[in-house]
Amino acid sequence: MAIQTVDRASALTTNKVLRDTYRLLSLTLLFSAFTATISYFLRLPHMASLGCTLGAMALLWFVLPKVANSSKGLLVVFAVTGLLGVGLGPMLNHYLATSNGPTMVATALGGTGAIFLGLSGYAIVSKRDFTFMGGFLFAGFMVVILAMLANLFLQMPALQIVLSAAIILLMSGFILFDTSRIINGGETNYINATVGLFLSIYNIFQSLLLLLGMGGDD
Amino acid sequence: MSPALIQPAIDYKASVDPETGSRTLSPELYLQNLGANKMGMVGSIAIAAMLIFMLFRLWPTAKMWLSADAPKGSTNDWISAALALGGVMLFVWILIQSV
Repeated sequence: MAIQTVDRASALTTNKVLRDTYRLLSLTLLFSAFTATISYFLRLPHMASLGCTLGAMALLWFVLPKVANSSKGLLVVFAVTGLLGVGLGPMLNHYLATSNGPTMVATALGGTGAIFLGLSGYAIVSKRDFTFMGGFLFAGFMVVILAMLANLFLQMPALQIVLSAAIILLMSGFILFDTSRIINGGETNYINATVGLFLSIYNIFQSLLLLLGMGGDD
Repeated sequence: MSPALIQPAIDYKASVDPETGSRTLSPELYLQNLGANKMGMVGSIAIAAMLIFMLFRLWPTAKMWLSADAPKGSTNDWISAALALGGVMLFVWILIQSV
């Protein structure tokens, strides 16, 4: 009887974290889309975009860990996602200026949504524990960062395509990993869970847009 | 939480031939259009510094997940994960073909 009560309490907590995570994720995605739209209309330069991204990273690394357990964490999450949205502005400006740009952006947006919903739904329905992928995902990501670093100076288009595909693959893995951690009680902080899922979605969108831009016939 | 990793804000754009307007993978055009070039050396150095910092931030977490105590998956677990990720890659390929 006592075990059943504990199980029930644990399941309720998990459901609450999952619900809160999806609610906050929806709001942050909307907010990010709003700031990206403003950035698009303001036609911000690339350096401003880089500055916003670096600012978001600084908040993510140095501020969020200190406030993730308080209500201030919510403000930081909105600041991070808002800045990342602003950072998308120049990229959207470029693609929307091409002849089939709106189609490409809409396809990338819809594709990202479908990938997220599909993988998250799969992790929830299957109730499988995907935390075993942690080593593979983190090691893979370190390799991707090293390759990105090299390509920053080598500037090889073929490597860029491979990197984008690898990023989509790894971020998809992270969606499975993060969702299964929430379901299985490995992540109990919905602010951290939201940021993890948001970054996966953000990266998939960026990489998918790049692949669509390079792969499509104009 | 997944690592605090995002791609640098490079304008990853397709190479568009200014004369024909067609999209191409010509390395010269790609380099010419790459956003990193527009940000110049300062931008490239800032991105490189961010990536190097990411590596240092990520290393302890990666080490933890690669340790012997980290959860290990069975063959079935890996097959189910591979099927899901393979499905994503197939979906991406279909999207690229459709645009």
